[in-house]
Amino acid sequence: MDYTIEVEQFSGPFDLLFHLIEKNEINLHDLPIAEITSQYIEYMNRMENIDLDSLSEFMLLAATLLEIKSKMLLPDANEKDVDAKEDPRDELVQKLIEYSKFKKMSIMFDAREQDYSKVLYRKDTPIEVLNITTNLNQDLDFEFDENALINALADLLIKLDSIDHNRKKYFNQINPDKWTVEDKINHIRNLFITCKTMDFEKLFYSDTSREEIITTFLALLELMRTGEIKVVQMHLFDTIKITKSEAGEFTHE
Amino acid sequence: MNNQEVKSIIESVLFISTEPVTKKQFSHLLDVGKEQVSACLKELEVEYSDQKGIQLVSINEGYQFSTNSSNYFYVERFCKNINLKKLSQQALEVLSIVAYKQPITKGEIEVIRGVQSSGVVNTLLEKDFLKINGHLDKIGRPLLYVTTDSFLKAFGFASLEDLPDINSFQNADLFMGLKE
Repeated sequence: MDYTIEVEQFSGPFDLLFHLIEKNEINLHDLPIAEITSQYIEYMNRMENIDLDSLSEFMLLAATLLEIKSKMLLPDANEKDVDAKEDPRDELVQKLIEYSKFKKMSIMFDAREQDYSKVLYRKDTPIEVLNITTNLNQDLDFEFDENALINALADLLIKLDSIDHNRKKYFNQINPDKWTVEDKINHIRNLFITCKTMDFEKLFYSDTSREEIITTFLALLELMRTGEIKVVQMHLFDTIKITKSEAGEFTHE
Repeated sequence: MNNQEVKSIIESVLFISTEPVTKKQFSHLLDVGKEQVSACLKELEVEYSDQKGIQLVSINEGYQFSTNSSNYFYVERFCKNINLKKLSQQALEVLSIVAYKQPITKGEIEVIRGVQSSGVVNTLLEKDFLKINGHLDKIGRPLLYVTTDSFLKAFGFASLEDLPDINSFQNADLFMGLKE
């Protein structure tokens, strides 16, 4: 047999086995285990520059093959009912069939990837269209998920880029943290003394830099966690509203 | 709003959008019924025939404009930053397993492949072809992986139902040179 193929091209032990079966036109339902095992080990011996992790995976299958081979050589001493006798190859063949289906599919995917990589889509999102594309394509009675909050924060930060004058100054020297989550939690609590509901954006009106917005956002998440406030969005594209929780009254220390 | 107006707005929105836009989103945005949106999209689908340089693609209930692949040569020459990075054989294997078995844990992927798959899964997460979708309610609470809209786009599937039937491969066909 001609061993010109480098082993690196195999993505795993099953891939190698798959290759051997295909190459030798072997009938899967009567796997010549001795032949396959020796070929498999031959390939393994030719492996160079293979890392230990991958090698151990190839070894595992080699051991499995050898085990099956030895089981087939030995007569089963306990064997009484001939029909009940299990073919030691069955499990391996099942796994191999399962793997082969996905292997075939991945070859088909490869071809499709080539075709469809020639179909191009727009990439850069102008700031203004973020509202439309925010990923809220669920039903109107959709459950509020964390993505809505993440998107809202992303919108804020993008808008900030154009007004964040303080940012340049900030990086000229190393400054101590100007804002702490604790301070912002108190700030939010104070805001809610006078009102019950507030727009998500409004919460950030006084914030001037990226760091401050993030601190406020962390404070918001913390208050959500403790159940002091709730975050709701009534409809698709609606502004996110922050409300004081009915049950959890604010506890001032 | 008449159909002509609705179609015009849909076109403008799709032109600017970088993500698929769903009928529901259109219906909400334009404040018209979903039936009218559907009808208009159907008309648009006919109008954007194969000959047009812009194609209307449907991805997982959403719609987006794309270039016509037959113009690829010129589009590619015009744009400098197109990178056609092909996925590795390993990545394609993992992707096809997740596509058919999702949601699936990394452990289950590894059982099928017989090979450790962390690196490949991470690459696919980075490329936004896979995403994490919760945990499996079992010991260790392993992460569950699913495919993304980017995956559908990159491989030209309109939805997951559009995937070819994996069981269509008879066992005998699995190995090309197999002799019965």
